[in-house]
Amino acid sequence: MLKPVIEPQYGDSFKTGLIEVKQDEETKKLKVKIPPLRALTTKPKRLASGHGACPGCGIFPGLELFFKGIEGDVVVLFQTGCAYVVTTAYPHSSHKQTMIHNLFQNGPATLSGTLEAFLELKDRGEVSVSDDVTYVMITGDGGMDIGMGSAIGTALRNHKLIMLEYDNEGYMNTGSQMSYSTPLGHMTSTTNVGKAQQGKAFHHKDTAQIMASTNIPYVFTGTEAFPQDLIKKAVKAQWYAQNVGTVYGKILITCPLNWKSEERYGQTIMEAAVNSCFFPLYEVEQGETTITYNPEDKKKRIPLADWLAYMGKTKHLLKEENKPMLDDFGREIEARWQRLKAKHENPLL
Amino acid sequence: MATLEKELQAMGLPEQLATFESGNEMAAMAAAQINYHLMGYFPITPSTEVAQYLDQMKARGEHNIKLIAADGEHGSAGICYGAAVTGARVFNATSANGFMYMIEQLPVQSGTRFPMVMNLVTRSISGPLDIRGDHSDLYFALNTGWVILTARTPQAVYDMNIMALKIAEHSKVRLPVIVAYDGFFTSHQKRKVNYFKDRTVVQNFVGECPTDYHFARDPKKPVTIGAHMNGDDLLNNHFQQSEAIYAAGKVFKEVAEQYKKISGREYPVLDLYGMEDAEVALFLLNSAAESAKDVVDQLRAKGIKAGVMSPNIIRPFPSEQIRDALKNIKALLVGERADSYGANGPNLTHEVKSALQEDKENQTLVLSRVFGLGGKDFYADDAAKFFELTLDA
Amino acid sequence: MSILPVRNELGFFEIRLESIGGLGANLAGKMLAESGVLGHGLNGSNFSSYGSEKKGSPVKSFIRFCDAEVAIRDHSPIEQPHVIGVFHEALYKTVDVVSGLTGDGIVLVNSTREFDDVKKDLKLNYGTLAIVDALGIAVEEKTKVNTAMLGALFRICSFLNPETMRKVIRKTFEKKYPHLVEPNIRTFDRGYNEVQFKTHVVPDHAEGRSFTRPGPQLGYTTQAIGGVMISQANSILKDLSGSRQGFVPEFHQEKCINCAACDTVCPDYCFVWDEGEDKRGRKQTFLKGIDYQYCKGCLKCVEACPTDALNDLREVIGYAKEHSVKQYFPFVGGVR
Repeated sequence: MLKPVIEPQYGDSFKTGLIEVKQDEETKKLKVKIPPLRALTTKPKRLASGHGACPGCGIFPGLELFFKGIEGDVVVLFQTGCAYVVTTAYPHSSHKQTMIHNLFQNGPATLSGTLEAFLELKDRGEVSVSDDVTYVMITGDGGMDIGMGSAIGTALRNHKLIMLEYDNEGYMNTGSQMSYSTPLGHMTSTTNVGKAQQGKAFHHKDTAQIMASTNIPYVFTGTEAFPQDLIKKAVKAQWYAQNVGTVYGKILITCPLNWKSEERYGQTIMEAAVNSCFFPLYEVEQGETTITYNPEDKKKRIPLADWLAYMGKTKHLLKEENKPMLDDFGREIEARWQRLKAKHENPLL
Repeated sequence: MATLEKELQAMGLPEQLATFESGNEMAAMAAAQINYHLMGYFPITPSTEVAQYLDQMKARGEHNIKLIAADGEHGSAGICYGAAVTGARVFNATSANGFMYMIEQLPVQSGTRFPMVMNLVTRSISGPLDIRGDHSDLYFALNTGWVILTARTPQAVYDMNIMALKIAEHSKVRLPVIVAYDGFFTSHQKRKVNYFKDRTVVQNFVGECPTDYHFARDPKKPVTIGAHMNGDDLLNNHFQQSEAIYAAGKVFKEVAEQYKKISGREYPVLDLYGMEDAEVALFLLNSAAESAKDVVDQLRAKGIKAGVMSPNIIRPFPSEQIRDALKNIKALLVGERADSYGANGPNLTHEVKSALQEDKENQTLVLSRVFGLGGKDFYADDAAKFFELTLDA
Repeated sequence: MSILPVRNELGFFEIRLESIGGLGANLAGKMLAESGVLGHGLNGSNFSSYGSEKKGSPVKSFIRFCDAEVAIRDHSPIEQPHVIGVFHEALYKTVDVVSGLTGDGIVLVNSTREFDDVKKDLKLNYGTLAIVDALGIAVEEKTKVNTAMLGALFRICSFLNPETMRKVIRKTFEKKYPHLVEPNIRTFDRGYNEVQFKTHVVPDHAEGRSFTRPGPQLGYTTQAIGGVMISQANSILKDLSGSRQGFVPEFHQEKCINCAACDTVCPDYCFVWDEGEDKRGRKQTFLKGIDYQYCKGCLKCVEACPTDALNDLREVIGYAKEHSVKQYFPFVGGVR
């Protein structure tokens, strides 16, 4: 029989008491205070070392940063994808708290069933455990493609859970096939580069905006390159998931293997993705959009090409003959960024 | 089968009331009486009414099953699975393409060993579309690892829904169970049905919801559910699963015996009509078997030794009982409401034939016919025609 | 007359390559097999161990050669190879790389160490050991380890003509990356020429090493039903140091400002923190060190470090063991 290796960690183990969140009485928005990252290093990780991810994988720092902002217990569901595969190779688990895997695409529905059944058991007095558990459905961008219906259905039912997408711009678990989140022109194993074609033929999916249009109370984007920003958003996500309804968040993460980038530059590439405005950091709280980091205000904005230069999958886009494609990509990024700024300016948009 | 109320009371059994309801209504009534924790559903004809009736009853405060309207059957099956991993009692109903849409979920539920009960209100799967009843959806369920009970009448739908949960949760089984009944013929035709007046009778029969398994419910007992395996481990998992579903065959008999004691109604593994001295027989699933019983009576009046056999459970497949029942049958016709294209006979024909293979003495000639697809009615003269074929053989 | 030097009872000359994902052993296996089949009229097969393994995880590549008229019906992994190629020495720790080697078999190792040290680590008693500094060659030529290993493998498989491989290299690179043709051919040739051999006399009736076929930890009586696990976080028992490809972060505590930037970016949760008091007596956390058992050597932490507290280090044997600071896990039954 398999026996526990570590004592179960739960409840207070994951409560630092260092994070404050409260609703502003006037604006009804959340105000969050977090301590310096250093103070959160003693909070145990939700995931365990010894998982089999590739060196330099961006999934794990991304997920843990998010969990740093979550106080107390979690029940996680991982849809099929790299993060699932490398953390649950039977008979090994890299999960400290309860983890469920079901299929590739109906994780949101599944976790909503888990949550609602738990609440029903609780209502009937059949379980007597604390009900401040936070339910988090974790998926790659692939799971958000094949499982878009389940995600939207769950958001529309507004269950009190979080859907967290780690987006590495492709189906990396199966060998880097294109996903709808793969940006224009990027090379994958199904959007090859050659004489007759130059990578992916159409623009990337704006999943955050799709989910925002389901009118759930909180939507955010984040990345490990802006850790305080991400942790604060996790704090808000937990508050909304416990008090109001569904939360969706997208964290962009690097896949050095399939982006053909150097492992060590993971964080640098993320920072460039944000500063080039390819991946703006923002939140949609109760329908109102706030850009949480504006590279233009900070005078940090860089051309898209500076970001693309880090990755082998995009270096063809920097060639003269592909300039029209790069320009097309740039126009799309700029249009999305300008629209986002307009939303930031106007709470009615 | 319907015993009179007076007789039941005279036998000292819990009080039952008579009602005039359809199969769908009886499935919903059983679920409401059990008071499942949760149902994730998506409507599809002819199973739709099950959720409708449950919602009506819920509006009247007659049960508190949490009803979740999913984004489709794949989502509904996911909701049910997610609920089942907490150890909660879970219920669902579907048909045809809804079943096909959720089928991906079914082996996960059985392979990870989380019990639940689903009503499969059988209907033709599309290609071309046909909303009426046949068993083409049911035949896709055969390899999902679910226990499958087959209910021929609205009464059986009610009774089997109660037995199904007890079988599913049995410590030797721990598997999900399908109760399959014929779309429209059984789901919509109203019949006189008896049901327990007091739902605590039903609840006592199914018993307390077992909690001594590894569930996702207590943060103090963290678990990993659904780790991926390689062949070595998967083979062991599936061996356990195989043992469990065969155990379900024995458990069915035990549960049916216990159920007889409270209801007065009997559900043998094989429903045998006129089989004890029959020379020719039909093997039919569900409502058609009932129709054929009238023809047996007519033939017997003419001195022809005819019989009908119909299983109450098809997963596990009751090979042993079929072998026994067919010992002295000269010719059997297996009539099926679905084909297995290109397989030289639909699924159950092969299963019956393979059951007989084990009996070296057996001389039964097995014929096979596909009938009643897409809800095409099965008349008495159709059954008579089947018997003619067995007599000609 | 067969060109194969030895054959097993099914007529096969078999080669197994032991590597980690990312070093190109699969590609090397494919090229070796292709050269034998298309270039030398042999029959052959090639395949790899498949699984959910990612970059850095142990992988195996298998090559079977036989004469043209021999049918290959066997689909199973090679258990008793005539030649074993070890692409990555750190594998010894977690994989029995020479399992099943035939008595007169040849082991090729990518290493800079002495014959006797490698022989001792592999517990080889006799037979031929071949050593090539494939990593060194690849670094100098700015190419890949697998090409240098292929050179050495061609030398070992003397029935194969190295010219066929040079042609394959030319064909692979000349259209898209013409500047890579020469360095790759040089890498191949250096592997071919620089590999060193040392043979210990094989006694008569030398027995091969037995192959241990890995089995599952659990059986059908011990596996919890449905595959559910209650052994949360038991992956901490794994050793992932074999995933590193030559480099580790080196930690200088005296330069550390405890900002946690390294901890933030680490995919493998290797940084170990201690609670203590700062100069003013306030409760604080301090970075104590790195648990190298889990470090895969991505060096993201070195990039993230705002000071010089972390830097790249070319890993030498023994460094990680000596400098590792163990994570605190609440082990059942106390500290291990």
